[in-house]
Order: sequence, then structure tokens, then C-alpha cells
Amino acid sequence: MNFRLLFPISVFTVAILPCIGFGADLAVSDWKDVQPLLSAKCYRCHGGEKIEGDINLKALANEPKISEEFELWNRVHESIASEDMPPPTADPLAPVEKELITGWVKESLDEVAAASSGDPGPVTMRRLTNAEFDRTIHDLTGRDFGLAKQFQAEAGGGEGFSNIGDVMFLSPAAIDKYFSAARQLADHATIMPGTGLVFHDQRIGLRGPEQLKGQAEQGLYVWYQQKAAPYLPSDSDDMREGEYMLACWKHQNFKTPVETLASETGLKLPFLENWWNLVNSTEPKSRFLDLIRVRWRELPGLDATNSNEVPVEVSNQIASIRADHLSWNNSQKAGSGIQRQQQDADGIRPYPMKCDVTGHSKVHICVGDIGDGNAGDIALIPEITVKLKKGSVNYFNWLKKEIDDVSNSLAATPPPENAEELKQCLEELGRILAVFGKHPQPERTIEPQVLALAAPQVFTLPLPDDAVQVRAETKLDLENPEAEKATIQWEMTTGTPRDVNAILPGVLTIWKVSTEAARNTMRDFNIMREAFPDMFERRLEVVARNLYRNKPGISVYYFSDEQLGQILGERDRVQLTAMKKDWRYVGPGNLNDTLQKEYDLAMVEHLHQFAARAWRRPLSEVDKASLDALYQDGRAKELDRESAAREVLVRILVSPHFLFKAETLPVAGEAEKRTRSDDGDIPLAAWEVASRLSYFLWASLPDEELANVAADGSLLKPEVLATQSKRMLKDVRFAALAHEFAGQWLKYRGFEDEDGVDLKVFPEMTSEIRSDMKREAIEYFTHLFREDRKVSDVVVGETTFLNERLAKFYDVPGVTGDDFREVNVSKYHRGGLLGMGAILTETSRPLRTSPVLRGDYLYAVVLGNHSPPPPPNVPKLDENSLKPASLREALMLHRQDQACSVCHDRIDPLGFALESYDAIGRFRSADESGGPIDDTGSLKDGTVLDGMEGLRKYLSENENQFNENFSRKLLGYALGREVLPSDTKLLEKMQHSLHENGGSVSALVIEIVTSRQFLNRRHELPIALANP
Amino acid sequence: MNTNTSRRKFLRGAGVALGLPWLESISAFGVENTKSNAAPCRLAVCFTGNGVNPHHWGATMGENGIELANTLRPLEPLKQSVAVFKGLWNPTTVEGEGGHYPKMNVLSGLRVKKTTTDVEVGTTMDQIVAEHCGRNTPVPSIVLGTERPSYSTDSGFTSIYSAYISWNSPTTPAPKEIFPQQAFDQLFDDGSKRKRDRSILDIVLNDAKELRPRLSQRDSQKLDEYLSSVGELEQRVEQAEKISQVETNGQGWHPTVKAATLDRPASGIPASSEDHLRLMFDILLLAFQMDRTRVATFMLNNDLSNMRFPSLGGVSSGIHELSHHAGDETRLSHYQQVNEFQVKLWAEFLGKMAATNEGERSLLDNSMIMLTSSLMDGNAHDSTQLPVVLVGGGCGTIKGGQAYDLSKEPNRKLCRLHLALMDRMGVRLDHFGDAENTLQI
Repeated sequence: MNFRLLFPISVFTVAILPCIGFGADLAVSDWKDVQPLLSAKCYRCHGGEKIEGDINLKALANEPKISEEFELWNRVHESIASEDMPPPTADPLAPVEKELITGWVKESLDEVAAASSGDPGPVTMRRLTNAEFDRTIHDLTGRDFGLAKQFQAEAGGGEGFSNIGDVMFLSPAAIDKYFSAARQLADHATIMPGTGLVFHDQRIGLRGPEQLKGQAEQGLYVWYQQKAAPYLPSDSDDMREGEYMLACWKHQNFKTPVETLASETGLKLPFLENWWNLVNSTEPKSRFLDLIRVRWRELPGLDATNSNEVPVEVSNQIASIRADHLSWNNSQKAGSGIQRQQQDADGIRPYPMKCDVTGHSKVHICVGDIGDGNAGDIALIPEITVKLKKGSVNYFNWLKKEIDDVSNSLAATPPPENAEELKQCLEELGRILAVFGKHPQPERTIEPQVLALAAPQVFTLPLPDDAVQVRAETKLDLENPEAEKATIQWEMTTGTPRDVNAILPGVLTIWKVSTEAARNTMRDFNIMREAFPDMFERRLEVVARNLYRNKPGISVYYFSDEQLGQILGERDRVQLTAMKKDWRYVGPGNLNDTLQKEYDLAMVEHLHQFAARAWRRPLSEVDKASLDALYQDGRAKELDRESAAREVLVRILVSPHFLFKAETLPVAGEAEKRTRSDDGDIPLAAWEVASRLSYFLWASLPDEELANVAADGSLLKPEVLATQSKRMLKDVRFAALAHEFAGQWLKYRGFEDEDGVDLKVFPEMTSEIRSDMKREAIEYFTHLFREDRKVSDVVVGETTFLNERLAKFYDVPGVTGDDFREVNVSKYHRGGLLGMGAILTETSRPLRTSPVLRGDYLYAVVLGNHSPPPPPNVPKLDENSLKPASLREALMLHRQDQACSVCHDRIDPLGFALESYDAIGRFRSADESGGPIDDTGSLKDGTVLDGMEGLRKYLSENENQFNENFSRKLLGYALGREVLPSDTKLLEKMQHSLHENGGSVSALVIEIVTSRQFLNRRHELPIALANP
Repeated sequence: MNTNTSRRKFLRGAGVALGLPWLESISAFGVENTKSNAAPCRLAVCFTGNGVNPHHWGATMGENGIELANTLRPLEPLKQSVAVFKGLWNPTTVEGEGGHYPKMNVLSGLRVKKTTTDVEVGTTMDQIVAEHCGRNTPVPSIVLGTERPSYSTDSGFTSIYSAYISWNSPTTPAPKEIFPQQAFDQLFDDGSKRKRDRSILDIVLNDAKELRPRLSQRDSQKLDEYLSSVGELEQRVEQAEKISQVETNGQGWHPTVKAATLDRPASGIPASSEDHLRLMFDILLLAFQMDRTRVATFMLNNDLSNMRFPSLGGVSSGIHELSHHAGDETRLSHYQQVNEFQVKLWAEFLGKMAATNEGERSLLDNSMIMLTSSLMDGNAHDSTQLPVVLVGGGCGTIKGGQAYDLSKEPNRKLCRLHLALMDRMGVRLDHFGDAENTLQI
């Protein structure tokens, strides 16, 4: 029994007020005057014989319960003030009576609202909604997994949104699904000591040690190549070797800093640094490389007489060094020169010499010992062929014939005039012929026509007059017992022979395969190859081999890790360090104890970081210990490190710390840290505010910046809060409001999956059009939020977002392509929400339009009016079976019934105004049965709404009502609860701010996030203190 | 010390509603006996939203026994197992305003709370049965459906009400599975996947325990849902292990179907609602055949349903819209077509149960399968009586071939029938919902 009934209500209630606090009824002083009026004029329909409109006033006869029945009294006030009530058929209220009732109700409502104004209200702990789950996972992993698709479906609560704690339930099946989702994510993760948790599109699964190693290696290798490629010279680029060497000379002699030299000349600083290091280096030793570095070091210094200029000699010598250097390679085709061929030199095949000799009388065969001693260095030339202008001859035969010819000439009588000359010639030829068939090692015998030459020597051959080219098959003398030691070069030239006691640049060195001499020389040669790779791909590889180096390489057109880091920037530097850390632990087969411990520690560190992000707060020592314990448990059960870490990952994602957005209350010992505010609320902790912000604005977790200001507590400062909020409004994630908030409120969220259209009648409603329509709405609201547009644009704006297909569907010209863009469509009967196909279709029947559904959508959903369900036992209106014209009549008839007219008088005219759009949102000039369209509707006050234009005019006149509803919905969405009387002041403030800020949506957001409601929670005792 | 025991102590200590207290009373029918060689009793409630065409619903007793009205014709071959009830209702449903939401208490009989936040319907009879006899099967109960709830609230009610007939606490709807693949996995998973999860379940339970003292009373209730869900999941893993041990012992009754005779369904929802319904029925059949669960509810469609059947020629509207036929002949005939089609699919399922031999009796004889709605005449939002058909012998305790007319009875509460069914499932209660005595059938 209600004990209040025992006492005169008004006196008693007022008397105990101070003890009750807010929530009690404050204004009941005039109730005794108002109640008899209500009893006489209202109770008959509202609680007596009937309970019209779900309003039972009689039940409140004893006590009006203003705060509990706030909305009901609000409606009483509205309907009496607007004279909707009492209805014409009932006993009317005299003006003074009306005044008395509305005055009292208004005052009572205001008092209740004021008494508890700003109350944070009852907010039940929220779990991540399905959408929030997916967005949070996206932000945690960088990928869209869409795992929430198969979670339990959600419904709307509070102001009609899924993010209301009360209507989110958990069950074993739901937990099971969270497990499956977490396992799936874990399967897509690599967890490594350096790179930590990385999520991939493809499933990774269990990886053995070899796979770990291989993938870490491969990962680094590819990374190096990808990162270095844009900055390394390609094969067609001029490598500017001379300029680099000159810059090094200037650096040495003019003391010009390398940075200056690089910027003045456009040389690349890292390459210049590398050149400088190379030309000054002595290690690793390489006589082939010395051809550059030693010769550079031997360049002349400054010219004492002209110390500002580079001596000509320096330039000349540099040019010569460069030419020699380039001769190792094939300038026509990179990677095919001697530098490439050297590794295949085997000493078995002949390596012919060739020389163009046109116009020359002699050719020199140069046989060099590459300066390392001539042991074994004997070249065998079985045949020399001389190509003549006409035909060709064997040199040995020609030589013998020439000797014969000269001898014959000499033997002639009388002796020729040039006999002396001929004698000398014969002698010379004889000396040359004598070398043929004679091996330098006396004990060896060779065929008479074979030429055997020991290095080092230059052996010069006189040539026939009309010789064009000489070609000599040449091979290493392998029968020589010392051939094991051979390293020999040969070339043929008509110019000045080069020094055969030193390396001949650009000439293949011949050796016997698999000998010490070959290996040593190749090693020496390789150092030069590494310093100057002959192809772009090999330059990339040299960088990639940083992986195996612990100090920078000797290459020139190359980047050390440090140089690469300087070019690429912070992110890549961190990434490289992390990848190399992975490699450090997974590269070697066996790790000593210290390294093993480090490895585990690194893994656990990453899990801590991930958990702190996922749980949206700093971890306590207890949290950390719990994570570590599971990891160790996995290791103890002989899981590999990655698998053990994956168990922890699963555990993080099924924890209540992840799934719930818990807001905790201070328990014993914390009271001093988190004191109640002046209003008696409990201020939220900084990271709780951060989560409220991010889930309100982004439907996802705080990003790094927000987490940082939460971590240091500065988020609680109003100026930081404002800065962060404004920053977040600019972020792409702010579009979440278009999907979650506007999509749920305005009912287009699931539009693409619906099938409420009869496709036999409307085959044009393809799935593409359906998804375009959804996209139109999403684009519209995304732009509204991201570009901070005017809230009222939604109902009175002149633009929308279209692609070609949807524009054609709407008959809007001039839009081409698949991309959506903003189009002014005011000339085409559209603009804003009202012209959107998704909305017009959503509010239609499968076969035809429904003015009632459309009207109700505008009236209740868009404008936020209360629209009660149809009362029972009313004559049923069947809008489907009637022809359109008679539907209008039927509706008119319907409205003559008192029970119906209250709502339909307001709803139907709004819907009629949209009759020019068919059931799938196309503009039309005839209705379903071919009759003319009547898109006028008259409101009760006589206002005539003439089609879309009339409706827009009406809405722009009632812009404030839309703005208020928008604000109310946004507040309900932000707070995760129903909007309460105590929010009235805040809603008014939001309206004011909206007005001050030109109607921009951000004004509402800022008012909400800085409100007492948003930043606090009600003072309640935590379980720990409530049930000690 | 057994950690599981201590955890359960904790759960109870924390005030978690793990369900009703263990029921010690002996069932009037004695069918609840895990060690006997008799096959166990199965219970399923199938539900269709938005009522039925009252002109063609029901049955009468004629000279040759039961005579079925048009809509129930597909049950003709099984009619000796059919009991049709006329006049049963939930009186609370006509007290308030609202044509739909307040009537979604079919299985609890208690008032549906008008709210957009703290929902309340009452624990439903199927979940009470599941709490009791669910311990004998790997899955305590399966709650199937085909449609999601919509977002939004309406007339002061949350849309949740339209989507659930099973509630496992007064304030928590039992999660409904609408994806065939997930329903399949839930029923036929051998528990191996969950074994790995067990150590994690322990740990996250601990997370919740640590969090709980710092929460408000209101918030802690949400956390308790988590605690009990995790706890229950753990129990299921244990239970599955125990059951598989029992199975290998070779004692007692054994289901005749030992392995899944159905391929794992594809992911997602079948494009045609007909395929979707059939597949869900097949999954349910297999679950009963294999004794994976003994309790089920299946919402063929939600209240306020948009489900459409384009395959029925000319029927293009959603079920809810069709139900408001306003007496129009075409639309009434469409409504009728949908009614008949749903009963036909249901009858196919029942026929397969009848064809499943379980020794002495068929699976259908060992079952009680109800079809009902939250409204009789959908057009008028009439819930002064509800359509209720019961098929199956309840392990030999129910006489079939009967048409009961209770419409003139003073006490025609639906919950009386619920008491009768619960009793046969081994749950004997003095009262349930708004009923204080059992309907004699």
C-alpha cells in the first residue's frame, strides 16, 4: 500500500522534500486546483472508460508524479496548449481553465527539470556494440575483419540506439562468439620480439622456427629493397663517379664540408660520404679496389700557385681513373661486362683476343701477371687469324711466307735497293717466328705453329699491309705444373701497351678453377664488385645485405641503415629497428639464456602495450602479472613463443576490460584522488573521458594522441578537452556518426540488406541502386559531420550526393562516373534527407507509397513528436487495397473519427506532400493506377503543404524543432541513455550554442562533451563499499 | 582444492542469478531419469509473429475424432498426435496499450515492462526447463530464429521485445541464433575447440572479479551477465567431457542418430526465407535426433516481421503488413497462404520426427512440439485468445487427436499449459507466470 495515501498529499510531500533530494515531486502546490479540472474534463477518456492515447490521467489522481511521468505531463502540456485536447467532441476548457492547467504543468515540469539539472543520470555500463567492436578491432589491427557480422543482433534502447548498456546482453553463446572472433584474429597475427603484434589479411597460423627465421629474413630483405629502390641510381643513370671523386678531392684539399659540396653540385650526400670513406679506406684489402682508392690518394694536391683552382692534372687523372673503372662494366648493357664474367672464368675454355688493326702495321699482345707474381702465368695461342681487306690468313703461315718472300727478294739479282731494310725485317720476322713452337719452359714441346707466352710480357707482331682485324685463340697453359698458381690477363692492342706488371683494368683474369689462386683473386675482385655493383638489382641487394652486417658496407651507391633512416624518417626507422630486433632473436638457431630471457621479455612487453591500447587504460601491475602468467603457462606447456603470445592475445580480447567500457568508482584509499565534484558527482577518470569521447565521435577506441593526454591527465583540463574534441571532429573516423548515429536514428543503417520492395513491380530497384541509395545517405551525413555543416541542412538543404547511376535513377543530368559527389539538386525536387531514395523507399509499402508511413516518419522520427500506437478497436484503414485516389479519401474519412484524427491530422498531410515520389523514391507525375498526383496536405491550423517545396518551407519554419530533436538524439547517443528532464537545461544550452555558431553541428558536439553529464557519473557506492 | 567449486561459490556469492534453485521434487511423470533405458522427453516451442487468420485456424471434435481447420491441414497425417487448444491466453497482454510489444510474453505469462532501457519479461518456461534438464545434454537449450531485431524504440518500448520469446532471466533475453552455420556449430561442436579456451575462461573470470568491486550496483549487474555466461560456458565444456565419458560407458539410453547427417551449412543467411526456415528445422531435428539438446524454441519470424515469401506466387508484402489485411480478400488470401506455408514446413519437420525410431516410440512420440503466436487475429491485435497447437506424445503422457475448447472456462491461462509441459520435462512447479494450477491434458 502506498503510505502517501494516508496523508494529505501536498503537505506531506513538500515537507519531506529536503530528505528525498532530486527525483521527488517539487511542484504540487496547486495540484488541488488542477486535479478537479482534469477529473472533470479529461478522466473520462484518459483512465475512466477508456485510456486514449495510452495516457491514463486518472491513475495519477492522487499524486501527479511529475518527475516519473515527465514525458506524459509534457504531452499533456503540449496537447492542451495546442488545443488538440480536449477534442472538439468533448467538453471544452474555458480559457482560464486552460491557463490554470498549462501554467501549473509547465511550472511543475520546469521545477523538476531545474532541481536535478545536469544530473549525469543513470548510465548502465556499456559493452562494445557490434559496430564498435569492428571499428575498435580495425583501429587496433589496421585491418577490417568484419568479425561482428555473426555476433548476436542488437536492438535499440534509450533514444533508439544500440549503444545503451541496458539493452546489451551477454550469454554463453555470445562469449563463445567473442572467443571465435579472438581466435580468428590471433590466427591472423604475427607476434615477434621486435615488430610485436602485426595483423595480416591472410591467416598466418602456427609457424616453426625455420619459418619464423625465413619470414623474418624475407621480410627484411624485401623491406630494404622496397625502401632503397626509389633512391638508388638506375642502370641508365649517370653515376657521376668523376664528380664524386672530385668532390672528395675538394673536401680533402679545400676543406669544404661534404654537405656543402653535395648541395652545391647536386650530388647525393650519402653517396658522397660513401665515396669519401671508400677512397680513404685501406680495409678490406683489395688490389682491384685500390685501382680507384690508391690512385685517388695519389692525386696531386693543391697547386701552390693557384690554390683556389683544381689543377688540370687532378681532373685528368680523375678522368682516367673513372675510365678504367667504367671499363670493368659494359656501358651498353649493365651487368654483362667483365665484372660479371669474371666469376665464370675457368681456364679451360679459350679466351680469344681480338683487335681492330686497320691502318696499323703492328699489334701488341700484352700478357699481364696482375702484379702478383708470374708463377704459372703462361698463355698458349694455337692460332692467330688475320682478317684482311679481302679474305684472311693464318698468321703463322703468313709469317713463314713473308719470310720466304723477303728472303726471295733479298736473293734476287741485283739485290733490291732496300736490301738493308729487308735484312733487318727478315731478322725481325725470324726472331718472331723463332718464338712460335717454343715453350718458355725448355723441357716442354709444343706444335710449331703454337705461340706460348709467359707473363709479364708484351709481344709485338708485325702485320700484313691490308690487315683489318687480328684474332687469337688464347688459353691458359694447363699442362704447366705451376698452372695451379696462375692468374693471368691478356689483351691485344695497337696503342701503347699498358703495364703488364700490374692489373689491366677491364680485362678478364684467367685462372685454373678451384685453385687457391683463383679463390684469393676472386675474393679480392669481389670486394671491388661489392663496392660498385654493376646493376641496379645488385645495388638493391647490397643494401638488403645490411641484414647480415653489423657495420655499414663498403659500397658507394648504397645506404647504411643510418643513411636509409635519415632519408625515410621516423616511422621507417622504428620499423627497421623492430625488424632487425626480430632477426636478432629468430635468426640464430640457438639462443643463450640471456637472449632467451630478452626474447620473452620483448614478447611480453608487446602484449602489455597491446592490452593497454585494447583496454583503453594504463595497465596495473596486477594486469601485467596476469598477462605474463598466461604467457609463461603457454611456454611451460611447450607452446612456441608466438603461440603462447597468441593465447594472451585471445585472453585480452575476451576480457571484460576489452568488451566493456567500464567506468569505475573510487574504492577505499582512492577517495582523496577522485573526490566528488561540487555537484556531488563523481568525475570520470581521464581515460574514461577519453573512451567516452572516442566512442561517441568515432565509435572506436582512443588514438595515440588522445591516449597520451589521458595518460598524463591533461585531458581533464577544459582547454585540452576542447582541443582534442575539435581535432577529433576533423578526423576521418568522425564519419562513424553518419553510420551509427544518423543511420540508426533515421533508419537507413540496414537499408542495403532489406527487401521491402516488390521486385516484380519495381525491377529497377537493383541491388546496385539499393547500395547507391544507402551510400547517398552515408555520404550526406559524413559530409555534414566532417565539414561541420548546418544541422538544419538535413531537412532544408539543396544538395545531395550522387554517382552517375543514382543520378540517372533520379533523372538528375550531368553526373558521370562511379564516384559520388555533391550535386545541387534543388531543381530536381530533391536535396537533404527528404529527397533521399533510401528514406522514400524505407517509408513505402512493397507495392506502393504510404502517406501514413512517410508522414509518421517525418512527424515522429525526424521531428521527434510523440506518436502513440493506433488504439485498438478503431475502424481499420486499409491503405493497400485501395486505389491511390480513394486512399486519400479513406484517410480523410478515417480522420473524422476522433480517435484517429488526433494523430492522423498531423501525420497524413506531411506524408501527402511526398506523394510525388513513388515507392522506390522516383519523382513521378502519375500514381500507381495512372491517376494524377495530389501532393498537397493541409494541416489542422490551415497551413497547406504543397508538395516537396511546401514541405521544405514548412520544415524551414519549424527548423528549431528539427534542431531540438537532432540535439536530443545526439545527446542520447553520446550519453548512452534516455534523455531526462534533468537534461533540459543542457538541451537549451545546445540550442543556444547552435544558434550562436551558425547552426554548425560541432557546436552541439562541443556542448555535449563539455557538459556535466558527459564528464561525470552519478555518485553511487561501488560494490566494494556497498557490500563490505 | 577444486577451483571450479570455488568459482561457483564465488558466482553465487556475487549474487549471480545462475537460474532457479535446483528442483528436488519428483516429476509427476517420472520421465526425467538419465540412467533409465527410456528415451528422454523433448520440448520445442515454435512461434510465428503477427497472429494467424482466425477464420481458418483451429480444430473441432467430430464423429471420427479431431477435424482440422484449413490452415492446420498439413498436420492431417499426424493428427493422432495433435492437440489443438482454443481459448488459452495471457491476461496481462490486454491490460496496456500497444498492439505488439506488450504481448511478447508468450512463454512467461508475466507483464512486459514498458521501457526503452531496463527490459523485463520474466524467465520463460523453456529456459526454466533448460536450467533443469539441460545438464544432461551437451547444449542446455537452443534458441533459434530467422530475423534480427530492428534498431529504434517505439511507443516507449524497445524493439528487443519483438525479437525474443525465450528469456533466461526475467531481464535477459536468451540469445537467439539466426545463422544456420552458427546454430550448427553451437549444437554439434565436439568441445575440442573450447578446451583450449578453458584456461582463458578462468583468467577472464578473474578479470571480472577484480573489476566488480569498483562498479556500481547497476553496472555490476551487467558484469554479472558476463560472469555467469563465462561460468556457464566453462560448465558446458566440463559437461561435454562428462557426457562423452558416459557415452563411452555404453550404459543407459542412446540416441539412434550418432553422427551429423547434415553438412555444415554455408555462412550467412540463405537468400530465400523458405530455405532458411527448412535449414533451421533440419538443424533442430538433428539436435533432437542426436540428443544434443532437449529444449528448443524457434521463432519462424519475429513479431512485427518483415519476412517475405516471394516464392508463394503474388505474395509480396511482409508478414506484419499482410496481417493487417483489413478484411480485404486478396490480402486475406495472402495472409492465409503464408499461414499455411508455415504450418506445412512445420508439419514436414514433425513428419521427420515421427519417422525417427527411438525404440519403443518415435522421436515425435517422445516430444512435445508447440506452435503458437502472440496474437490470434493479427489484424485486430487480438490477444484475448492465442493459437496453440501441441504435437507429440510427451513420452506417452499426452493423448493426441484432441481439440480442447477452453474458451468458456473461467481459468484459461496459457501458463497452465506451460506447467503441464514443464511437469513432463521433470520440472514440477506449483505456479508459473500467472497460473497457479496445471492444465490437465
